[in-house]
Amino acid sequence: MTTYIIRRILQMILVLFIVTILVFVAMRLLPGDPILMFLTQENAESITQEEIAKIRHELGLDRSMLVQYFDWIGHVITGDLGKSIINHYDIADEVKYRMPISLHLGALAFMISIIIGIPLGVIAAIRRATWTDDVLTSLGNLGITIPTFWLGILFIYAFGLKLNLLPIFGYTSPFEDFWRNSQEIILPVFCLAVPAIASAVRLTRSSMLEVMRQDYVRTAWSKGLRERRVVMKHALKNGLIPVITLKGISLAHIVGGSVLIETVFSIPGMGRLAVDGLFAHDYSVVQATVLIVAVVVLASNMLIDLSYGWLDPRIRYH
Amino acid sequence: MKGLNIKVIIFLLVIILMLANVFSCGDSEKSSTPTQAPGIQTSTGLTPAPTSASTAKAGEPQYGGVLKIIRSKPAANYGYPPKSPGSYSTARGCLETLFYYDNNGEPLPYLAESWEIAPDGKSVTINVRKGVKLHDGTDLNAELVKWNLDTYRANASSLGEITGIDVLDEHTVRLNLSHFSNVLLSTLVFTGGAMVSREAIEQNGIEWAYTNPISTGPYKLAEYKRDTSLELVRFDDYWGGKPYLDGIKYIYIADATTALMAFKAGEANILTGVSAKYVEDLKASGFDVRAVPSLTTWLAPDSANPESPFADKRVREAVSYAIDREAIAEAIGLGYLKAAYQLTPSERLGHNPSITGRKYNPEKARELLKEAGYPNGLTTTIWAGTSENKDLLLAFQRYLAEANIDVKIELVDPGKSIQLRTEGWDGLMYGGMGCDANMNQRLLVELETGGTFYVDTQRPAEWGPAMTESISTKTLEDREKAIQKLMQICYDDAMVIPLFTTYEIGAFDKHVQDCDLYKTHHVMWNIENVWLSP
Repeated sequence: MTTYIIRRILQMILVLFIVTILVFVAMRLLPGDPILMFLTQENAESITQEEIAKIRHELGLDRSMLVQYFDWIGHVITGDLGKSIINHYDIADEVKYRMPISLHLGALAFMISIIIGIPLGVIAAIRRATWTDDVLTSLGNLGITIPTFWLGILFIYAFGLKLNLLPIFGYTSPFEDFWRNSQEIILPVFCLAVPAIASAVRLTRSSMLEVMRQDYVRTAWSKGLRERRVVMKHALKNGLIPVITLKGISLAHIVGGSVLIETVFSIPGMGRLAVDGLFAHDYSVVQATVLIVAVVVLASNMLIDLSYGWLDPRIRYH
Repeated sequence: MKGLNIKVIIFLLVIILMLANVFSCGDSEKSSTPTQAPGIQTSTGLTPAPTSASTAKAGEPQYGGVLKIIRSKPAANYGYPPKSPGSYSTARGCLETLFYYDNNGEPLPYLAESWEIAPDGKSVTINVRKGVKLHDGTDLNAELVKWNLDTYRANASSLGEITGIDVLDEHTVRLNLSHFSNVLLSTLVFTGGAMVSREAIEQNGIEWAYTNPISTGPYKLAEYKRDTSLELVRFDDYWGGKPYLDGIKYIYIADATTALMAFKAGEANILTGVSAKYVEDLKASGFDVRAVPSLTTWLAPDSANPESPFADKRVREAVSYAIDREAIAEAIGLGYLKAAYQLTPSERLGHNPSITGRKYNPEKARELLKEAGYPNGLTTTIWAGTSENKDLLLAFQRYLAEANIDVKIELVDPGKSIQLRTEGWDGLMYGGMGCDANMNQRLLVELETGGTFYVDTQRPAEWGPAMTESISTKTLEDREKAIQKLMQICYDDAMVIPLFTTYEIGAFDKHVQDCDLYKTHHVMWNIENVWLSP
């Protein structure tokens, strides 16, 4: 087990190294010059080539790509993610500010999707071909297909503008004003949770149906065990393997934030940071956010792989 | 299973109760109206003596309240030096400049109490307003003005006509000039003329100053939450008298629909950057909707390239005749797009009424193409930014096709768009310029002969001297004539093909009083005079 974990960590480092090269090169292959974009935001004044060259030099962008890459990596290793070219802010500070917001919303939606999605999926499976199954399957299909930004706008219109029950936009820290925060997060969390619940219901249902046909489950039934024991003790753990895989992948969305929901509800999360950085060709911002998401994806993938052993004792790590 | 169902029901009931609790506890924050009623102040500055809320008669200015303004995105930089009108608009509460200006771009006194242009145009002497304090308690004086202008000159390419600055006495500076330029005074209305604390910048650095405007404005920075809000609070030592509002809050909402709903729900007093499609709805809801000219859009040909068909004036004219601007404006503009046949809109000084324009005439367009040696038409590309209105581009494509000009539309991101404008393109570039009160300012930035932008568009020989003449005029009448001459040169040569005047739209609720935002300009506004009625 220890050898396996060490090997996975070494693999993670290699993958991270490749990710840094890819994102570094990809950003520089994008058409457009970030210096020009910075200098010509909206209607800037006239620009001379000397001014462009001066700023390029100040930001170190006139050096060779190799030097720039190793300079960046050197700083990242020491925890310095650099500064935004466009907005001048310290990226590490910005990540510290935004990450908890994305984590808060994403983690709540994640938990809700598990708490609601998996039980509903199990119910749909064990009540297969009944009206319960029909309703849950239909709702699952609806939840997967509905565009979240549209759902957000619909909710804002209904609960914010017309019924005046919930705030339309914004995010207040729960430590600053808990009740305000509780009100503000209901709609975005619900919008984030809907597709996650729907996919959990669909996947749990199909996975459980597969497991429920297995011999050992039939044996459990034939032993006269109660339904609850058959499902919870014998079927569910095996049925959860594909669901856990799916949920593990969605962990990256929690850290990366949801740009659509963050935009619709005007929430300053990681998604908007990355996308705004991308549109502005803000190299350091995009490189930093991609790197953070990559670390989380790799770490969560490792945890998922380790969890398979707990879910299915037949799985051994070498 | 029965037990499981009961647990599920109990769980759902708990969730419902929690939600009900949240709903009942909260009261959403609404836009503020005056709540504070301080004693009557005597003002000797710009603002008339206001009355307290409790004693105010209808229509009289009142103290108190927080003005809330929705903007689509935060300014990258709202401190010093401001990099764009967007950031300057946000910064205006804090940052003040040497001059203000009127609708014609004529400078008005602000931190400069008065000024005098030397008869030979080689210097401008500025009398700096006395008794002005900055937010950090330091004084505004001639030394500070010199330091600010010198710092700005060292960091920006504008103000190049200043060769040196002399401090004549504590409140008088003289700007020595290589030549007089009326654009200089316009620059001092905006970015170049902002006065900030030397002490604060020397202590904290220029990067700190980008987001910390320590100036003389009626409001000072309270808090900035990136992508969320910017809050300003009243500066009680403001030279123009105590400002009416307790503060100003900029709220950043990127999604236009959310912004509209937030505004209608009373979360803000002013909504900026309104889409024309929402105007009727806002008017019907009782909001005051205003619009000011924002941009003149155009198709810039790659006429400097001798191989290009657009090197021939007749082809450029053909493009102009081929597009039915009026029909497009009516169909797409919803009243906030106006057909343009010259670069200066009718609302701005320098509009040339003698230019009637190359109105829609597809037959003439085809004829001109034939004369130019393209009897079977030609194929070209229109380059446009990804954020441009696609309906407009498709309309151009359709109209040009009628004149046998087959157009391929290439949408490019902002970075690529700037690259093309500064390095060159093949075909037509869809772009434009801001409708500043002094049109010389934008003409100089976008279309100066040998300038940074639109490098592939050939400027006629007389354009450069005419622009030099225009920026050196000292009176309003002379400037008007000079810009009109520029408009005529541009039109005669079909240097660029003007298409539309676009409008910047803002909506105001009934509480906002004495606010000139969106009356003459969407960036400059008299923030110190604004107050909120109950």
